[in-house]
Amino acid sequence: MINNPPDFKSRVEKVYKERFRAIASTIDPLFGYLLLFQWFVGVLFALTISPLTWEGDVGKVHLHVYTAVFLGGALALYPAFLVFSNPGAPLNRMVISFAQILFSVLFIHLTGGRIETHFHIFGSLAFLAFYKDWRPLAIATIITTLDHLVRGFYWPQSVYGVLSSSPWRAFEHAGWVLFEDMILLYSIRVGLRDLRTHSETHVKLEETILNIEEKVHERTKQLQDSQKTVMTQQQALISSAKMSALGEMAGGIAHEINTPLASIRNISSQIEEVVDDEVLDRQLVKEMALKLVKTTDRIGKIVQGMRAFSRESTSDSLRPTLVQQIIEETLGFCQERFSGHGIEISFENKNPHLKIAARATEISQVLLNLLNNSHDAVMNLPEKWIRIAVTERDKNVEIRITDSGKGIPVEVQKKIFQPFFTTKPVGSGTGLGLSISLGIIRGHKGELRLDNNSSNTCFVIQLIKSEELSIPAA
Amino acid sequence: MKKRKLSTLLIFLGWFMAIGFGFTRIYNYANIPGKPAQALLQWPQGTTLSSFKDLATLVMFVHPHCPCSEASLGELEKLMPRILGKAKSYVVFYKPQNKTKEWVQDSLWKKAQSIPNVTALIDETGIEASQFDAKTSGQTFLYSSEGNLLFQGGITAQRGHMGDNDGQLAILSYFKLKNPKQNPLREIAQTPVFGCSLRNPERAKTSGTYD
Repeated sequence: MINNPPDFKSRVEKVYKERFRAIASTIDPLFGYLLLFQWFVGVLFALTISPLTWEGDVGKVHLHVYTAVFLGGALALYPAFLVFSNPGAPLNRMVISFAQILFSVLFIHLTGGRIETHFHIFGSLAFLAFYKDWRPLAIATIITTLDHLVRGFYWPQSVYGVLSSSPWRAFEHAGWVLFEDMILLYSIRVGLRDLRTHSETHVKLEETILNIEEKVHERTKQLQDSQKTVMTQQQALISSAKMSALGEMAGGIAHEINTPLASIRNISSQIEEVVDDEVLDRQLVKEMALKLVKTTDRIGKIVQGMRAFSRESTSDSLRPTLVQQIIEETLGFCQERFSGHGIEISFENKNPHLKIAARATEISQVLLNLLNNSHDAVMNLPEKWIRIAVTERDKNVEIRITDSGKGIPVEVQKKIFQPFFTTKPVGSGTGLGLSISLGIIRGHKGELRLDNNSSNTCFVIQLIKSEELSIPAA
Repeated sequence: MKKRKLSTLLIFLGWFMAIGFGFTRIYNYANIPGKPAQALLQWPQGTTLSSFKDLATLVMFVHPHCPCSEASLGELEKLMPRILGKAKSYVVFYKPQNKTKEWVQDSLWKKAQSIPNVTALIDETGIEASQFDAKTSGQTFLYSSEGNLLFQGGITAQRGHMGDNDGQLAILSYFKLKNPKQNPLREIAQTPVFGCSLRNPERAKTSGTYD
């Protein structure tokens, strides 16, 4: 952002004034307390030094006591009221300056004109300089000079300790005050310069923060957009990977459907022949009709499985699902194809009632992916087999998919779960299967790993039993 | 807004005037002298105090608890070294009949005692004060060795304020003469006295004495 100079200047001025007021607001209450304290000290002076005035044996309260109480009170209370009711107001420091110097005069009087009490003036001037404002100092100096001039004229002893004095004596005393003023005014000037520099830095910093915030906002929006794009692409990739797996299965599925179709055709021909018989064997027809029903049911299951597999399921919740059912349905897609390629598939599950908390479609996708990988790995081997074993491990269920392959090289193992990594020929694999599978299993709070202890290639899926999760019943 | 400004201004002016009044009052008070003495021109015959041989005698009357007399004694303390060998002093502390010796021998008594060439005395019921006609605390008299009155008055310029003053100057100017015995001053120097009254005015009216 480029600074608009007039705007920058006005903002610096605003911050400068705010800070100036803040300083005054901090100093004001201090002076408020100081004035009240001085009132107390004045009374203490009067009570200690001149508590009574005497007429023979009769003592009466000395005028100094009344002076300390009432005049001191007036000097302290009005400025204190101002500073506590409206701290930081310009009038406050002018009144305070006036009152503070008159407290010096009062103290000097109450202490019998002690020269040491005059130091109160110099201390007061230094304290007034805390405001970083020349005006209170000017007021204090003027009052001091006027006081010296007036008293020097009427009662010179009270101020100078000498009987008669030239009016220039007032200026000599004021000169010492001015000497201190000069030092204090210089410190005020330096302080104000620093205050302006800090105000400028503050405004610049504000602008920088604003710029950064704008950039962060912009980048966040870009990031969110990118994230949305990535998520959309990820969904597309998952879908694509799923379709790819399904595509790979297409031949096998065709075979799966062709077999029962051929069976239907045979049965239909047999029925055709049977109905031409003179004596219709109703029992036989019935059996053949039942076979037709079973065969069409099988086709229906395959189609249903495919539909279920291809549907969008990421928004489904986890449901108790039979492991046996998921595996059997998945095998339904590929068993015929695998058999056609001479791959022996075995499935072992000692507890067919074992349930996991799962989105069945997603687990089926993982299984199909692993089975396809195993298929591709063992297809050209002399020994071709794939074993699926389900075991219970405490609160978990393990599905081990082992094939006749001799494991995966270590350097490949490190990358197999990375997206877009594949050992298959170009055009044969997306490189997303295992990474998506890993994501799905993690989404089930489970684990997907390669078992390095196995002498063959073995992937292990570990999922939580349904009873271990509080999930709605299927 | 205008109303507020006006009220602020009025309050400020009221405050300013109250303070002005207060200061004027205390400055005026500080400059009101006590009753002066009508001292005898010769050393009083009835006094029990004895004048010093070949030396001038300075007598100061002090009320033991007068706050202003702290300054008078302070001035005496400054004066005495300057007239060393030329004069000796008495500081006479008034003791009313109804007060104890301890009441008299307080801080001012101790201060007077600490000044070289000064003798502090207790004046029972103000007998000595009446001999010299001293009515105000801080009243000082200077008599020559011949017993002639040279000076009477106070040696402070204001109530309770130390510093140069006419009384001190008058005393010093006498001792600065080449031959002090021949006092060239045509008139006896006299200055106002600032201090508490040595008399109880009510009692003085009825009895004519200090007590």
